[in-house]
Amino acid sequence: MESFLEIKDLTLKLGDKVFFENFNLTIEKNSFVSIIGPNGSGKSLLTKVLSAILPTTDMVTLDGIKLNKDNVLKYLTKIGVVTNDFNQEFLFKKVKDELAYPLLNLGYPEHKINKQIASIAEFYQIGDLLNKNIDDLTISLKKKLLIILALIHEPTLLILDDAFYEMDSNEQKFMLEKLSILKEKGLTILNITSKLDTVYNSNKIYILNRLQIEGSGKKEEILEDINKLLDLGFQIPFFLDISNKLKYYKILDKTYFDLNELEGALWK
Amino acid sequence: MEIKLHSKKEKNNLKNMNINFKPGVITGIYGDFFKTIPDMIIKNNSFSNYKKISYIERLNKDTFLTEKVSDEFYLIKKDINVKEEEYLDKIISSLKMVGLKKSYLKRKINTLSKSEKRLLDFALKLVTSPDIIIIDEPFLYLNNEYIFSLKKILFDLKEKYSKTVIILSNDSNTLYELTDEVIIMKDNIILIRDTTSRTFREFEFLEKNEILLPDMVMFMRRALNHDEKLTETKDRDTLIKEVLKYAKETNCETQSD
Repeated sequence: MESFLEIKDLTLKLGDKVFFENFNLTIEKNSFVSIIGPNGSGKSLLTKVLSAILPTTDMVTLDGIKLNKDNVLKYLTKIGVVTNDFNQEFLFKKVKDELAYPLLNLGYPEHKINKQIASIAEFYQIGDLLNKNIDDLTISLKKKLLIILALIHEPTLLILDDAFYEMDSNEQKFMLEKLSILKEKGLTILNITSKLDTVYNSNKIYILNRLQIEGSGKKEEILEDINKLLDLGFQIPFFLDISNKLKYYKILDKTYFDLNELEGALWK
Repeated sequence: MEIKLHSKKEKNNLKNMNINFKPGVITGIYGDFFKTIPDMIIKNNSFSNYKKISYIERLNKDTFLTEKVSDEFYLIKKDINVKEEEYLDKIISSLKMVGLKKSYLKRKINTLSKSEKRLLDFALKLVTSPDIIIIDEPFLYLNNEYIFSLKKILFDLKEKYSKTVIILSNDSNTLYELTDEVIIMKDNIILIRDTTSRTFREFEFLEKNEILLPDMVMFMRRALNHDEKLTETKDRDTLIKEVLKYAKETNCETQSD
């Protein structure tokens, strides 16, 4: 597998403070990678670096494009970003207008915009929301809309910074399923998160703590170490918690992540 | 304490809906309420003494108005009937109740983590001695180490101080774990109001309304499909003990076979 996103020797100087000293990370193309980190671990700072909000020179490379002053616009067309900034505001009153705006910026003619919006509405099941005022949506639906908007220009890399944070559990489940479909179609997803129940589809998981990568591995390797996850302050999802405890008592031979797997192992 | 909910707007028609929120009970509300319910409870005409209601919203840019924790407490002092010399003690006991130390008073708010901000907001509301506390998505923002603090606060508010606690959440796990009774609303209509355990036994009804069952209930339900009738519990460790008990029995049966 080829390297798609590469952060090499990242050191960020903000005023007289230095962050991420010689930080390295490589992500393969067409993968779902999660970076889990507690509050204050550097998740949002990393997102800002990857979104080119904090300036860096040639330390980030995406699909062969080095992120620097000259390439920043080209780089930005390749990424979609959802942040967890609760001050994030929408530009328009209606959902439909909010969706149309980026398409208009891409130079799409009206009939193509309408067609595209109809297809988005069908895929994400938001047809009933199109004519609603964004202000009237629940926080969960606003979060869903932010992910849809980040994907509208068909980026190759989607960066999620605690994007599922205030999303209802059924909406989260729905969007994770949709992202899996998009991954199959070639999207690379970087899920930077503090919610462990959003990382089960990951090809690889990294632990970010105090601006350093403290570990990486497959989900089984990372999520089995409950004590470490607790020390880092994560809330442990129920099925992960119970299956780890039953493993401790030798009722199970390994960790299971969802009820169907757990059922199969417990009551064969 | 009965709160009558009625809306002037026809499209938010909640007229004729009286909800009796009892002291010493934690009531959970699930549904599309995110603006309607808190607004209606707080601004309700029939409930004039609204200062006794505290609403702990999600963190937003207006949650804190000053830069320092102590300033935030002194900003709201004018709304509280307390002598100057007693106020500091009241602040410290509120901080203590949410699991934050006195030293937080000196902290700048922008140095606090989201968990700490959420607990500080809780302490700011508690210092006003509210009768009714409404809290939106209580587990949101909280690191694992503060989950215990939150559960303890809610338990104390209910048991020790007999407060009326209303939890707004669309997470059935949260409602199952924290509440005594649940109200499920859809399109501003109450679909169900019952004890938490009875509500989450309405499997077909919940599925029909696209409401996810709590993980623990789903687990107990699957166990039942395999003839394991686990005693209903909200506590993970108790559930583990139940599973272990069955596993031991099954093991003994297999060995005797």
